[in-house]
Amino acid sequence: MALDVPARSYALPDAVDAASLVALLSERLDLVTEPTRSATVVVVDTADRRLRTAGADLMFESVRGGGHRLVLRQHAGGPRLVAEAGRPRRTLVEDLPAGALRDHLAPLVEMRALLPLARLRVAAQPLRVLNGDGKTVVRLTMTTRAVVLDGDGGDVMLAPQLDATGVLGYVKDFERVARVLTARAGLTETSVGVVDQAVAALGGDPTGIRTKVAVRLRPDDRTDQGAVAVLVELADMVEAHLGGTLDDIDTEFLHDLRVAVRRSRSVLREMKQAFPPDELGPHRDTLRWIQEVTGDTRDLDVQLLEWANLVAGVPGTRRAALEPVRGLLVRHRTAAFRAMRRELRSTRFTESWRSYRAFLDAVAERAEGEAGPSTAPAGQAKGAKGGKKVKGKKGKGAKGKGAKATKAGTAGDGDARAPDAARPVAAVAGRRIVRVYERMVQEGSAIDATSPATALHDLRKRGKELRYLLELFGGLWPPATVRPMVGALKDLQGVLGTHQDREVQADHLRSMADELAATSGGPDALLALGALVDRLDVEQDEARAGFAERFAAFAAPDQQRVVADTFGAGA
Amino acid sequence: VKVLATYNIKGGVGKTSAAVNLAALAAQSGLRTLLWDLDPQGAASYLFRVRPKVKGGGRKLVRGRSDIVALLRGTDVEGLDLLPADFSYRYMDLALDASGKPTRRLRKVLAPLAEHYDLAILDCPPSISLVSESVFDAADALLVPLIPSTLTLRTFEQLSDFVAAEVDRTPQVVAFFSMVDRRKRLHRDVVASLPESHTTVVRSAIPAASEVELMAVERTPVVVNATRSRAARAYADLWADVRCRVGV
Repeated sequence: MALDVPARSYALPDAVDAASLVALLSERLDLVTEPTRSATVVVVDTADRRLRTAGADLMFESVRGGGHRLVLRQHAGGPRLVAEAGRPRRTLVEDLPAGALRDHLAPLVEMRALLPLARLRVAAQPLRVLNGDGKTVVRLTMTTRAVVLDGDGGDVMLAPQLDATGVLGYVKDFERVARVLTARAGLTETSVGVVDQAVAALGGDPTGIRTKVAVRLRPDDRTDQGAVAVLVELADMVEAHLGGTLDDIDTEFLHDLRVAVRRSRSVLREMKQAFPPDELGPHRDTLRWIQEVTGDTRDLDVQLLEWANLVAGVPGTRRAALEPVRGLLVRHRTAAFRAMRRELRSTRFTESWRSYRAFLDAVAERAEGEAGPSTAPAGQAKGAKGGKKVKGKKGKGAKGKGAKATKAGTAGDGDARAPDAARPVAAVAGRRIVRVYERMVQEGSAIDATSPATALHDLRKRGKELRYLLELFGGLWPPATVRPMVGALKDLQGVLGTHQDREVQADHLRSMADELAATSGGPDALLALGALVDRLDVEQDEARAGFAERFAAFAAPDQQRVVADTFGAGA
Repeated sequence: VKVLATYNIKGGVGKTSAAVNLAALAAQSGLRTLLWDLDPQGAASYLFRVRPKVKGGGRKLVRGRSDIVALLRGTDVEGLDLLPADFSYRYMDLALDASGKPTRRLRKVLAPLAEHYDLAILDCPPSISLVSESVFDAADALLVPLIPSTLTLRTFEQLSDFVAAEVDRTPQVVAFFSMVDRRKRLHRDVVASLPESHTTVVRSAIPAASEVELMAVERTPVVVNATRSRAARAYADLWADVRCRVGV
């Protein structure tokens, strides 16, 4: 059962002044005008705008007499949730006082930090609509807001808005008021949230930091062009997440940075024949190095994020004894983070990353030059949310084409060093998808109860390759084919991931034994650690037991036929 | 959800005034608050301008056959909802008696609302009956208004003994003075002495003030309508005491 309270927002035309609107509405509604309110609020959300996705706004509001509180408003109605809070700053859910707001936010926000996005000056004129008993049945608020810019930048005015909120149990009255607002006052509903407007006014992306590639490829695009368009977006993502990683804002900045690097490595590996190998080598080394120097911190982040779940299975009497283990993990994480930060701030990182970006620019420029003038405008493509079309002509195909003059240091059409460069991207990606899938089927079929753990780990790595190919290039084929395949792959990767994670975690915990023995409470902790490692071993065994069923679904004969028919057709 | 109940065997001692003002203060402090007007006279519903009508009446409600969410009404105080009174509540004793485990019924009725509210305040009718026994079972704390008089102590001790002896799930008792007339020496003496000898009695005291009586005319809690009045300040003190004692 939900306590749904209807709520709608209406755009107020600039020409409409509050007094005239109130006078107009008063002809049809019994209105009470409340004293105007003004305040400065700070809107917050996670970097990836999880509250926006959930249809809610969260704000720090000043409290009369000092201090602040956090107030959550849900766009579709529902109760306003409030919690006392400190001054506006980065906040984790666990920092909030226990209560309804924290309970509501926890599953939405998870491990992400709530970050101040904008400071707003708000002037509001509240109105109440009464029924025949003099009871408030709808609340209206005419609001003007301005984004406060840093320094002496002044304010940026946002579009004025009228918010209508119903009262529980008086839905018919709300609908009547809504009709008056649209039919009588001529107002139109708006779905653009206040926070979106504020973020856009500050030059940000209202949808938040991007983690998904939105390049819109066409099957006949040149492979080097398509691949480099994807790589440029991934490189943008690495850069977008670097600051939050170095500032340790939350664990997901590093996670998403690593995902973008891993995907980039995957594209370079799977599409390697679209690039001259001598150019590719150093950049593949750079990306591998970034992956290596960030690995320990991420592994420890995972250990700590999963800590509550891990210890939940340990008997209560031994759970308290595990606290020194957690303390040690935190210390290891701090040390790993410092080492990682040193590397990511090093000259090596700066220079090798700059070189990688220059490589991408050069490939993009060369590919565009080879393809001739642009046939499709870059930028937002209709029907593809945030998608960018790839510039340039359709791929001509490498076979039978004569070699052309190349730009210095880059490959051109027909360059034997990069035979796939000018081939249609669908043909090359499809061929790679079929190839990786077939190898997974072959390797997975050979796994039995006696196979070493490394066999499952290798299969998981292969699975990641396939997943990235499908995620980055799957848009070239019908979603009805790609989605079930991604689903079966995700299921398989789930058990393989658990198998591998538990092994890494158990190994790390075992390696801590000597260090732990020397700490206060060490002997008790060691005993409890044994129970924890046993539990990880059991979970690893369970994951392994689930492998056969998931793999059978992934490698079913029907599925193999679909893969060959769909992705192998143009190869 | 924490459940409080304003209760006294006597009528006209300030139960409803305390219930509506404490509920308003709770909502203003950010707690999602429900007020259940259990009194068939419907004074709390009247104060919030909500029609004292419950579809299906009290019988269907206590049997758990009503869609309780559909019966709720938002009040003019943001964050405060009301489960209105109904004249059929005068037969609630009979309805409870006809149901299984009557003293546990009200707790069961409230159970589906627990996820939506941080606090529920039950405004009880004056009596000792199955309704009050069911209220005692549902409540984490009883808020008992006491008019400072010679019989006050005796009545209060009777209630405390009854709750301790007869109720399985014993609620905490928090008593406070109500309708205090500082011009009367007896009132001053009782207000000063009783909290010394009885730890369940808090020091905050609601004055016999005209603004409290005017609530029936204004149909708004004094803590909303006359925030700086003596009565509003007294209710704020009482709310602070209750929060501290009950841990809301």
